[in-house]
Amino acid sequence: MRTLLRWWREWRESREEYRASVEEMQFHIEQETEHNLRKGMAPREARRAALAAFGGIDRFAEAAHDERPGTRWSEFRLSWLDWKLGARMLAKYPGMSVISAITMAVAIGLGAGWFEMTMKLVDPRLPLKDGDRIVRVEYWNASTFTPELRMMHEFVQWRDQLASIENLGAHRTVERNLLVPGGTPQLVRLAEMSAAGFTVAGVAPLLGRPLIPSDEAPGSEAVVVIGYAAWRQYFDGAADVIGREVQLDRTRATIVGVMPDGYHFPVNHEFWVPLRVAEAAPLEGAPINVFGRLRAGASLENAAAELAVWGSRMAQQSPSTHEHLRTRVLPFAASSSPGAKREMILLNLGAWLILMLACANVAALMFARTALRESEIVVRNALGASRARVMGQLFAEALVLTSVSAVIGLIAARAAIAFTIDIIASRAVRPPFWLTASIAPTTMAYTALLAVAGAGMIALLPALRATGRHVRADLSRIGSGGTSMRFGGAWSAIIVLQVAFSVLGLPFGIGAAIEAHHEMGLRSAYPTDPYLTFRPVVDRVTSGTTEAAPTERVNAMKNDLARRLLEEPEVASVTISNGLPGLYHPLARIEAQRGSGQPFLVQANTEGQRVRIGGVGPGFFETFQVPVISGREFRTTDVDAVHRVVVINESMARNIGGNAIGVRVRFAADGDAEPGPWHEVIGVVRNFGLTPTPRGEADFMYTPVAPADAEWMVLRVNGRAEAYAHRLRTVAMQVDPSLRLQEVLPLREKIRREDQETIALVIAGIAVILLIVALSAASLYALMSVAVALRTREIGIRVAIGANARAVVTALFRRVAAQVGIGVIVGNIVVAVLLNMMMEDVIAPGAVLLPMAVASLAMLLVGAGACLVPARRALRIQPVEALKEGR
Amino acid sequence: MPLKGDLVTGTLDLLVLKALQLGDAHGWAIMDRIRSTSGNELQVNQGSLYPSLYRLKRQGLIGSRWAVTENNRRARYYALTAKGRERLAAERREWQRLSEAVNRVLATEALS
Repeated sequence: MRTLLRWWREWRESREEYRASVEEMQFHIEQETEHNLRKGMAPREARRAALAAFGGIDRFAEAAHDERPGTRWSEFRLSWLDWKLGARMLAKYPGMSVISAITMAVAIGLGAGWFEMTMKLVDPRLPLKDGDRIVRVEYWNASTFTPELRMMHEFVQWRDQLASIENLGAHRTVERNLLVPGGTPQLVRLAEMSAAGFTVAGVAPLLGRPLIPSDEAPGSEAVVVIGYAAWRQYFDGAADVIGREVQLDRTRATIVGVMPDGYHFPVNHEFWVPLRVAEAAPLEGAPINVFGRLRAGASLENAAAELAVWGSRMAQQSPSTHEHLRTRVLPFAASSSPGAKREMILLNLGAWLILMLACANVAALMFARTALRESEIVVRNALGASRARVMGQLFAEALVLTSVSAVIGLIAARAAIAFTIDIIASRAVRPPFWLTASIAPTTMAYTALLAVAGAGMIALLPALRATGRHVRADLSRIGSGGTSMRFGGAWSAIIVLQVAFSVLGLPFGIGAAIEAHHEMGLRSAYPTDPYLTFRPVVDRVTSGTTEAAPTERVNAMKNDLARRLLEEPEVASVTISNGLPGLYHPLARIEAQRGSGQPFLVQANTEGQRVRIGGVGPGFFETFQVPVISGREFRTTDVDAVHRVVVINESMARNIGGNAIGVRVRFAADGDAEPGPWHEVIGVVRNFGLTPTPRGEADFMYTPVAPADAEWMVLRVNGRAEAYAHRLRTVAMQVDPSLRLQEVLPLREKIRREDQETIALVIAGIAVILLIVALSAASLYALMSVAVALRTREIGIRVAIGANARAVVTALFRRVAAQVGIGVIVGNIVVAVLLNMMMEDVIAPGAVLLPMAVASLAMLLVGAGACLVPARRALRIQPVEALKEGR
Repeated sequence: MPLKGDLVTGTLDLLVLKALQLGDAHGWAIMDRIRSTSGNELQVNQGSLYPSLYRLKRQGLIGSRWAVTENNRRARYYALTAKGRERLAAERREWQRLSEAVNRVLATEALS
């Protein structure tokens, strides 16, 4: 803080000193003008002569400024003029400036965006009145490192006993089928919440009343408070909504209140029903989240101390259950994981690495530009400007650049965060209400830090080189067009690395894009239109507890649903599965055994010779209209049969070899795991053709699955799947009001969403790679052309004394060719090694070869272009001129 | 004819110190003193004057203060410090020694 104040003071002094210098020199010019008038000059001429004799106030104010008294380090100051010069310099080299600004904007934007997201996730601010005083109370299991949420027993006691926290409440999220009279059933998320939740948040309802403590009493009428969006969506914003009834699973609840727009406490909720609190034994009952507001005068530490005392008493009373449990009081939305903040901050280091990479590139451009301006720097040195002053100016220039980039980066980061939140909201559930696209002041400060650090990194090396002793001493070179700045080994290394990285990155980016495009093409060709997929979930919910329903009941309910659906004229076929075609399936290594022969590992097409495993119900292949090539499909009796059976696809059958029917297969031993039991192959089905690998369609092995164990249900409908979605929910509600259907989506849409993510990732990856390549090419060009331009004099003289022009140019190209060539070779070797060792199964080598050749050629052309232009310029100079002018 | 072009840096400092020995003065007056006392022979590069003044100030050889001129204008006046006086005396001796040496060389008849 003191340092900041000192800098502020020094900055103000420096500004005042500058103003004083300007005033002093203006006075000087006026005196000189009067002197000229006395000599008999006309007023205008007198003024002009005085100005001409002085030669420009700005220039000399700055030179005079260099002579200001001060200590060694305080000379590293930035004047207003530095900023002006910095901005002017950016305008003077627009190409370099634009490339540098974009690069830094990407790096700073990534850093700022990442930091903001980190803060939003681990330490968010609640947009509620005194939101920082709302806390969460939880148990932390010190042996499993997870929160223990079964706190009903504790919650009842805390509510009466805690002195430091008031309005103590609890909530949990449940799903219900909502049926509004006259509408179709909808799956909604509800907060079962204590009435205290409304008091803690301090938000009054728009209509009616919030939940009140008497709603929680056993036997009280079922009530629900709805959110603004739900009010608009389901009731068209009707003013007389209070008192209407809705059905939530089997319960009919009366609407008692509507909350205003934007209210989603505790997390992202639109419906609130009372949490019925029942006495429970320790570590029993439903998991709940406990919250409250710090009482006036109490701090987080007070509350933590009070709960710690309580916790240690509990641990003494019931050591068996509470020995490892620690009470914790946290800001309401803070992350549970104790090390989360530190970890996330550590992850920010990644952003710094990117920043450093970007800075290295921009520094190369800056260095090239500085080399061109060396004479200016030497003159300023000679005029008496200290090294710190010159470095200050270069730093100011870099800071102007990074400041522009920081603004662009921050705007882009905000847009990206908003976009991400929108995507999350449209895909799954609404994000927590505190997750907004705003940028916190701390992030702005952090961005400023990134900009300053970036400017430091950019300016440091060029500044040190440009103000080095060898430069300072070498005043004699000025005017000769030469320079003493040389590109040493470090810069050669940078060039080599840049080229290698470009050669490395481009093929993988393009290869991945080609693969993704190929895969997507296959998928879009597949007739996914008639398939509707959903996840049926069955809970037996009583207030206060959630238990998974017994298997028999789930089986019966799902079978009942399937039977009812098949009665519908729109439904052609129904099946169940654990995994949908074209989407994720787990992988495993499979051993096969023919007769009593030696078991052998199936050499599957997928990475690591692993086979994709799918659990499917009877009628799965019939539903997807995939023909059985040999053998048979599953029957209902296959699930519980003592004799275990599997169905495999064509690829796997081919990799087993011969006739696969009757062959025995099992999960191979993996690490400590024993091999699985043997299964008999009873059928071979045609490939779906939705999971390509470089060696053809992936191998699939299907096992029979019972309805209770199947995650998905799939319908083949007559016509378009979307049209049947509403009707599906009504049928399900008729089967059982508590049977909830999650993710009801056409298969086409599910695949499209996953493809979208792939496309976004590929585009982002390629964009980053292209940016790096463009930047590498620009830096390479700048470094190379400056390196050649700096030898202009040498070239001129060599030609003047009779050297063969071709020999000179060849010598010039040799070094460039060596640097670029090494880069290309290193890059290609790394690509080849990576392809061979790791990526073989992910990207087909063929897809990479062409991009590899293109990238290598592009880099060689950039290198050639970079020395061709200045070399031609040098050769066009007349030898006599070169000798005379030193050019 | 006045001597144009840059004075050697050290020489300008010496002349500024000498001009201030005659009394406190602002920048233009210092330049005018050098110009008139040299009989218009020495033309100080006006833009170099201020870097020289700030350099001398940093070295503690001169001090400065803001004051009002006879025309009621605000101007920065420079004054010689004790250290500046000592330096002037030393520089002056050095200059005389150097110029005498140069003169001796120039006055030497051709060797025969």
